[in-house]
Amino acid sequence: MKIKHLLSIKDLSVKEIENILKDASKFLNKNKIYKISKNIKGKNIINLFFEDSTRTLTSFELAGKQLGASVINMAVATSSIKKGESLIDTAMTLNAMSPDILIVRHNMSGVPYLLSEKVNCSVINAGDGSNEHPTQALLDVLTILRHKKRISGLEVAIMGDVLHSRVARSNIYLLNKLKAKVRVISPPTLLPPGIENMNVKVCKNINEGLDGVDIIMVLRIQKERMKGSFVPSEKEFFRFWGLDGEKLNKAKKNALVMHPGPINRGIEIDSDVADDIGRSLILEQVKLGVAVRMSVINKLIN
Amino acid sequence: MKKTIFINAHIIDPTQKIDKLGTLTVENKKITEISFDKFNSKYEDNNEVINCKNFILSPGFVDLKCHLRVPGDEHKENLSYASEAAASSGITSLVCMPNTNPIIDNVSIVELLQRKARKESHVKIFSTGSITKKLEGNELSEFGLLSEAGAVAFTDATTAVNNASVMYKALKYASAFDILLMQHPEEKYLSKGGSMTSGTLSTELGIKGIPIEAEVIQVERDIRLAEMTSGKIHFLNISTGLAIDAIKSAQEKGLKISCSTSPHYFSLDETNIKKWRTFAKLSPPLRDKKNVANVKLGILNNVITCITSDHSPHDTDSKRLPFEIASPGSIGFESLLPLTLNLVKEKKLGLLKLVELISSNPAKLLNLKAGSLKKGSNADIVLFDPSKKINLSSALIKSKSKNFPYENKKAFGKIYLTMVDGKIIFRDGKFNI
Repeated sequence: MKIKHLLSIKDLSVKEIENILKDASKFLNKNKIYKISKNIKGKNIINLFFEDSTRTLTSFELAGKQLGASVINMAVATSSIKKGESLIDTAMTLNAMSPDILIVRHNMSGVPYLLSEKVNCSVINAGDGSNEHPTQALLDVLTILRHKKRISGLEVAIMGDVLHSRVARSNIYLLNKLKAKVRVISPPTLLPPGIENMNVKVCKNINEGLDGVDIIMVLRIQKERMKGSFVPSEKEFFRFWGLDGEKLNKAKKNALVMHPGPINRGIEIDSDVADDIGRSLILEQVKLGVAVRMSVINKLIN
Repeated sequence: MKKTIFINAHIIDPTQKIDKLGTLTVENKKITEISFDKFNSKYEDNNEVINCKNFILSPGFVDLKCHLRVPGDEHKENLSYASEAAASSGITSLVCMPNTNPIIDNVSIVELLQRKARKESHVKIFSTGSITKKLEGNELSEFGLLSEAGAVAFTDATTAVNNASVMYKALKYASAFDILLMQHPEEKYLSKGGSMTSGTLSTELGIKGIPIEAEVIQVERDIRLAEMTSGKIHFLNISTGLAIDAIKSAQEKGLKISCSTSPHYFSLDETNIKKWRTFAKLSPPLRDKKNVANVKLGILNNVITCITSDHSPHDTDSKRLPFEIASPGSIGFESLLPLTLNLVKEKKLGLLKLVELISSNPAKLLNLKAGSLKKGSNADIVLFDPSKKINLSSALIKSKSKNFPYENKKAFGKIYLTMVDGKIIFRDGKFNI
């Protein structure tokens, strides 16, 4: 892989994307067990998470360990920045310990990019503000591929809080690169300005939005955004924008449902849909996440 | 008394509509003569004769909006740095913003600043006062006492007075003292939490945007209030076509509404933010190319009558941050003339108009004794070559901070000499102090 960091889907060529996904599949054995590779034994990875995360942190940690690397989780709450040490000082301190990869999550957009300019090692963006979450998009696409065997030409609906979602942005870039047809469905107050120029179809009506889609990506919505600031209430959000069995019927019969997690049951997705093993890919996404992250780490180190 | 005589000068003075070669004489801090006859050197042995080699001699520039960070933020800028930076940029009068620490909302801070300026600065420094106490937008500052102490205008600096009732009272009360209120037009709720103009670019960068309408909404409301009160408002840093249209129609109605912009808003656009480049984070935020063209048009059509430096120094630690929490603003003195000269090069305006925009008009707006070469005027003078190529980059910056968004930008305009009250304070790259 030519790139040193994985900061944005935009930096990846289609060939590089295909390579990452191909290698990720190699880390899977009969869909279940991860192969343990010793490719990168002795390499050091630091998970630098400025924002709380359970699944992404665990996924990256496991991915690194499966490859034989030493993984250190830095518990940097945003508050330690407030205590005085600047973001860049924190990164420079870690950089002085010569890690091979810094995996960064931050609640502000652009932070992994900022740090990549200051440190010597590779940087992986594990989610920055409302900007991007590239490994999530890669694992989503891998999940789709395993079921639909193609991305090109698929109708993909991304629904929910698109405004604040880094997952939505990375998926829009990635799905467009792979020639899927992307539409977004969102309450007008949670639709980002100018998104119509990003090669997506904007649907304000959920029935129109779900009509004939192959894949539905449901986004997580934070509870505090449903107290009148963006949406009047959780109840109203679920009624008009939450995915339930009835709304799902508008989609293709074999349409599949995805969610980056953690899910808010009864708010953005109904439990019946989330738990429907015939349609929901939510747990498979989590599983493939480890494989995709192994692939990315492996490529950046080698 | 020794005279200073500028010969072979291309004299530009908008206040007398002078745009021709001539000789200008300075004696005892004042301009005593302008002549267009051939200069006879034999009577001038005891005087200092400066050959201007046909370069432009104009009134020193008057900067209507700058942040000097004094008192309180001297780690970002101080008066001696600012004074050298201004002098080397041809600026002889500075009007500084009150968002300091403490805030300039009482007489003692105005006096403190004046005392420091007398000691540390070689250019003239004029203070503004805040419209509201502590810049909180609730209670009026002491307009009368502050004016008496020397405050030349009132503004809440980089925040707008959002409460319509407070602004109404401010305009009403200000009329008793015939003072000017200057507003940074940005509606508080639409702009809250935003750090760039909203649109596809802000969505792509994952940054909360500020809609361009935040500017025009504030402008339109203030125009109504000015109409109600027969008040005087000057809008700072106008950056959108929408606001320019609103101001134009208010001016056509005869309301006392004026506005200015800074060169950033016709020299840069939002794409200069690239990947969260905090040096391109300004307030108001950079706009799209269409609005950049609108700002140029607003200058051309005389709606925008002043160009300010909007000098906003910030130390490294205020800029080396995630975009959304980095401080907004850019260094401005050194680029004021070169970037405005670009408009001359683009044939958008002539040299008379240029000097009007950065000297005569701001002086007239605030009734400052500056911006003119009339006989008897203070000898605040700048000599510059408008055709000399320069390279705009942070290496040029003499301010204490270096937050300058231009790197290796080709421009024109070199300052050779700056004079304040008949004293040469900058000449050929050196400070004659």
